[in-house]
Amino acid sequence: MPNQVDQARELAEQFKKQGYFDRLKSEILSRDSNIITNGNVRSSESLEKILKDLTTSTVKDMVNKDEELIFKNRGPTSALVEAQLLKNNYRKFNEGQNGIDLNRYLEGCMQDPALGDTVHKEIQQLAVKENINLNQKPKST
Amino acid sequence: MSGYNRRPPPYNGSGPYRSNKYHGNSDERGYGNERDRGSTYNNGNSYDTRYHSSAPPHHRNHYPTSRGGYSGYHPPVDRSNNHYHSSRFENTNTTSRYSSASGPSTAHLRTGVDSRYSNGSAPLPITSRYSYRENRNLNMVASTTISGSIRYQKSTTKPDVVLPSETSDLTRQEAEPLNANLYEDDIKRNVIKPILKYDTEYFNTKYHYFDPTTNKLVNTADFHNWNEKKQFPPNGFVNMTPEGNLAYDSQGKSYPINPNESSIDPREQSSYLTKINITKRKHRITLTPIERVSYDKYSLGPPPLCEIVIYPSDTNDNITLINVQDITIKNYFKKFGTISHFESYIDPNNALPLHIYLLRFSSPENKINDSAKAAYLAVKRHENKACTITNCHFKVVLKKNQEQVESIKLKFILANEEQTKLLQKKASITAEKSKEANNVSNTLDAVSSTIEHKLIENDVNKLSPEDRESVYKELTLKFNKRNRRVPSDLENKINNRACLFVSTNFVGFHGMTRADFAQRLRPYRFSHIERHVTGIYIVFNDINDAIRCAMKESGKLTIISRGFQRMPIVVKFTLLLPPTMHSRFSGYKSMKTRDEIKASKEQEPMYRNQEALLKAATKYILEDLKTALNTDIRRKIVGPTVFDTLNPDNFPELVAKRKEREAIKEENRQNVAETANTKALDASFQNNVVNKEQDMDIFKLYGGYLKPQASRKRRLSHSLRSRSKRTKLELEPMAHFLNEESTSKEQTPLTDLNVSSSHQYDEDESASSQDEDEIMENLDDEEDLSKVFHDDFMDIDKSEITEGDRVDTEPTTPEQEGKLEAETKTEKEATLLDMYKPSETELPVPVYKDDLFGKRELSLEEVQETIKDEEDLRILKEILQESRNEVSTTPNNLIEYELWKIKDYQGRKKDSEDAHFKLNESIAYDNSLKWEEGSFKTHGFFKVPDRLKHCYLPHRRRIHQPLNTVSHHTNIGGESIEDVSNTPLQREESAKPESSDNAVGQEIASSRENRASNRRFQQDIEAQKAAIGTESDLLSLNQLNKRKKPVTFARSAIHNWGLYALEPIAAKEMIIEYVGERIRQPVSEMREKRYLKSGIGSSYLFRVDENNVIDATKKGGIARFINHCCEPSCTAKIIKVGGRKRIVIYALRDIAKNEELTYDYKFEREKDDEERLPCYCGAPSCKGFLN
Repeated sequence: MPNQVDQARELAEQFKKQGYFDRLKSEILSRDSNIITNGNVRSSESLEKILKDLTTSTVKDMVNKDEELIFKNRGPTSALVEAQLLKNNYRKFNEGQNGIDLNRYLEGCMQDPALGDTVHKEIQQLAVKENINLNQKPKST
Repeated sequence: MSGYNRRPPPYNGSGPYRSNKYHGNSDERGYGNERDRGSTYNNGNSYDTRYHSSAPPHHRNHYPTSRGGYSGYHPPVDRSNNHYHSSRFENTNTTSRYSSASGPSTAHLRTGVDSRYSNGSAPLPITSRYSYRENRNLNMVASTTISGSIRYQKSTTKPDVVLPSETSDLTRQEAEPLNANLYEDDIKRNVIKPILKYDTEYFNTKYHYFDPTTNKLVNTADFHNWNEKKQFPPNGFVNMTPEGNLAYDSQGKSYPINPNESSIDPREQSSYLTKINITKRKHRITLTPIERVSYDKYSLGPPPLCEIVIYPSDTNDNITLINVQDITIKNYFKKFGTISHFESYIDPNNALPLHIYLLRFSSPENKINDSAKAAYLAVKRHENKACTITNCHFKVVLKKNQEQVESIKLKFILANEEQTKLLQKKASITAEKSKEANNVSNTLDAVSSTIEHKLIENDVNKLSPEDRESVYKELTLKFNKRNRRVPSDLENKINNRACLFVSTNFVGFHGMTRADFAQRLRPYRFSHIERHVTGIYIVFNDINDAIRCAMKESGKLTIISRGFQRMPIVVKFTLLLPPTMHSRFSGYKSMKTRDEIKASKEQEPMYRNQEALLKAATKYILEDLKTALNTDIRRKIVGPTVFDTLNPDNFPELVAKRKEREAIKEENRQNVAETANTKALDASFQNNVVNKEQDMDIFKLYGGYLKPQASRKRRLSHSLRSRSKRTKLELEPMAHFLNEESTSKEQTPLTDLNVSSSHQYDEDESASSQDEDEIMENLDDEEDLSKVFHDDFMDIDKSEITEGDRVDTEPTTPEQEGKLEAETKTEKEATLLDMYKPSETELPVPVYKDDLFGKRELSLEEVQETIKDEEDLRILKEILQESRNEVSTTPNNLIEYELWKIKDYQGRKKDSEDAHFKLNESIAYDNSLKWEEGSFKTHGFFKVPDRLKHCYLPHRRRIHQPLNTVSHHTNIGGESIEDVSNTPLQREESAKPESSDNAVGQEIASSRENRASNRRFQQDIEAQKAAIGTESDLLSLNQLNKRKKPVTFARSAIHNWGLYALEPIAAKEMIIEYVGERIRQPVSEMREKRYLKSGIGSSYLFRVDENNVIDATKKGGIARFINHCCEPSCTAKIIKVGGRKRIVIYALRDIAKNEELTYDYKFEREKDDEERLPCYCGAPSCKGFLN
């Protein structure tokens, strides 16, 4: 167990504690995604809604193919269907005309320089607040 | 007087023998004269010693007591003088008081009156031997003195004499010639000077008459003759001849007397004296132990001792004594008695215990002896054997006084003082020696002491780094010389904290446990104590506590060793400091390996500048963000959406479709079942067989209710469908779709599903048709139906009643109805055509029964029924037209209405009758019991014959009609009394032939074969038992089990459960054994009461004989279910099998299959009506009660 806590890690924890992390997350999910579907349609809806719609349609398709799905025990059936959808980095969502490449989108979001800058700024402010100085010796646990 | 035999003194020739102790010649009188020994006087006269109150003065044993307790002393005799003269005596003749020729007067001796006083003279002083007051009986005195003399004789006290060597000048030889006539003792006495007592003037003048020193009589002037007045015969009262040569003793025997012969003291002759003087007894060293006198409230003196003192014996070491605790001593001595006081003494100089204890035993009131006994026992037990308590030896003594205790204490205090002095000397010597040798260690100690001092005051962490370093170095040097470290498997638990270590060898040898350390180190606030293979680790949260504990306790703490004589053992701790501190500050070898160091470095990234730090932080954040997003998508978006989407409400069409399909299928099933039913009904019309499907409930006794066929059909369809689906469609569970190991990834689960689902639809349709076919086939096979229906029947609502064959079907579409109708029509047509086919009979057989003809009264419906075809109608019209000449053409609507009403009424009546019939278990109600003139109650009371009672009393039916047995439920409906004979056949037909026959068929074998096989089996068992040798319960065989008939239990109308025969049983055949717990009579009585109390109303106690009862209440065979009947089919017999009595049930008569077995319980007739149990057997001759 390292006696010294990584300062960056500590900073990240502080960042989370302040609530910036959750805010970012919800922002990503709720903002206009401008995601392009397989049918080359740019959707202006939020990622959350797109995902919900996609999920619903996919499940309906599955049900149409197998009616017994709705008559079976809902809990385990839904778990199985969910696992189907999440398999292989959301491959299911990538099907059909309305399908999207969610994985790529998420990665794109992460690599968004704007996001990085936002985080960077906030961390900087936080560091200033906490008076974290590199020159100081790390705290021992 | 004296108790010893005295021969009368020999006659000395002075005259008749007379008792004349006071006689005696003056010459011969004297003390010590041989002749006069005991019996003669100086004058030679003998005297009767019998009358002597005392021995003659010359006799050594009769020495006057005036001189104080002489014994066996003969005063020296002076023959020259009559020493024995006493002025006290009347006879003032100086010869002696014995000197009077006239003989002494013994009157005073006899009469108790001193004759000396008789002449009025002043009372004469008399010797103390005769010391008595006036008027005292001389005899008494004599007896006293004699006894005194005897006392003297027997006493072992030495005479108050002086040895010859000391005082006398004369030797024995010199003295001898002088005292030729004296006894040897007298000779001795001559040279012996007596030690006188009462040698005072008072006594000399008043009492004494002889002076032992001078051997002379004194106060002779007071002497007088005892026989002055001549009152007594001169020789005394002696039986003598006048001649004086013979004397007669008390017995009349004569013996010669020779006056010249001196008398011999028989006492000296006999061995009496020798016996007394010479004893063979050993000299006693100690006093003879006498029985202890118990101390009670009447006893005087102090109470007995009940305190003991316990002190260490000299053989003890000081070390062992340390272990001794007061409580140990107390507990040890508790066994002797109750302790009321316990005191332990301490050394005042050093306040250490001296291990001297004072114990006082107490006793209950009025029993003082108990405590004394306890103390005595405690002392006595350890008198010879030392008292050993915890390897220490103690001495136990009774506490006589406080001084004793003080002396013991003092002894030990002094010993302690000496020991301390010795130790101090030794210590100083060793100190001097050690000073020279160990300068370095002293400095270290000094340093460490300062450090310790620092530590105790301050916190280690607050010390300066240099100090801290040095401190740790010192500590390691002092407490961890071997550089021990924490084992790797304990590192997690210890977690880099300071701990104290004690090796397992040490701990194991001395039997020390964690609890010991926990108790002793409590003040040091340790975290916990770990027990490890290597030893014990005492972990401290705070390093200061660990250091403090090590400083104070290591090398000083002592714990009692369990492995070594329970001695306190000094414990040394090893201080294990946390490795980081150790490595950092102590400068010693690092615990970590290089890899560990590398890893630790990697985990501790150092950032060059803030930018790098921020970048790193950003990176972390983004990574976490991605993870969090995925998680949220899964949990918060996809999951709930899927769940919500799968709600059937979202697919109403599909649900509706499904329902439709199911409804269609159910209808199909129902129709199929109906056709099957109608077929069956037609086939069994004459036999009135109810649909088998309806009566498969084993538990319905009086239930003749029809089950709704619709629901049954529904169930049937569902179950069949599901079964068939499972078997035929081969759907895989969804999980399989997600199987990532599937070879063809292109074949997604959905595609598979699609394929399978498409197949499903096709197969569903085919399945439905197939199902129908199956059902059609299955209808013939009753087994499958029963299996299918079995579970379903349990859940069906009993309250559903249907009317006859009418079945409530669910509303169907017109198209479906039309289809159904078409189906039925075609079937009917098929049956009709069959009817018209020619039959191969000798005589022509009408197609329709003509049972209507001959009846006088025909109902409208029957008339209508007779018209089967157009030809009949035409004929009827012709007949009617002939009777009536005119034919009315006007339609009469009322007629139709009337007709309809009649039909409707009749139909309803028929339905109700059918219903009643079925309710009555298909037993027709006898017409004589019918009362159509209103309510049945208006009929009034009337006697109903027993034979008719079965019509309305179900429980009356069984005797003649076995009800509800195992497999004949299907055959209940419509049976009447007349059909009894047919019923067994019917049942056989209708019962499941395969199942029952299969079940029973194996068991039904020829009885001969059965017996033979049983015999062989029994022989096998016995052979195996013999082979084993020992008796074993495993190989026990109940032979009666082999003869058991196939029977089973089922609900009974008599009571609760009953036993039924599964096959026909012939009369006198053994059916089953009544098995249960074999208990004794008193136990059975007790159990009976207990069962009654606990509410078990049924009695399963079956008496074997007077003393034994079989109790099948809790444990038993199925024979316990056999009910009582007043007309039984079986009987119980007691037979002996294998030496033991057993209860066996035999058949009294032929018993049909599925008939309930009954036997007569033969209960004792109870007098008390309240205790009588009602009988529900239903037999015609039923007594009404069991007992």
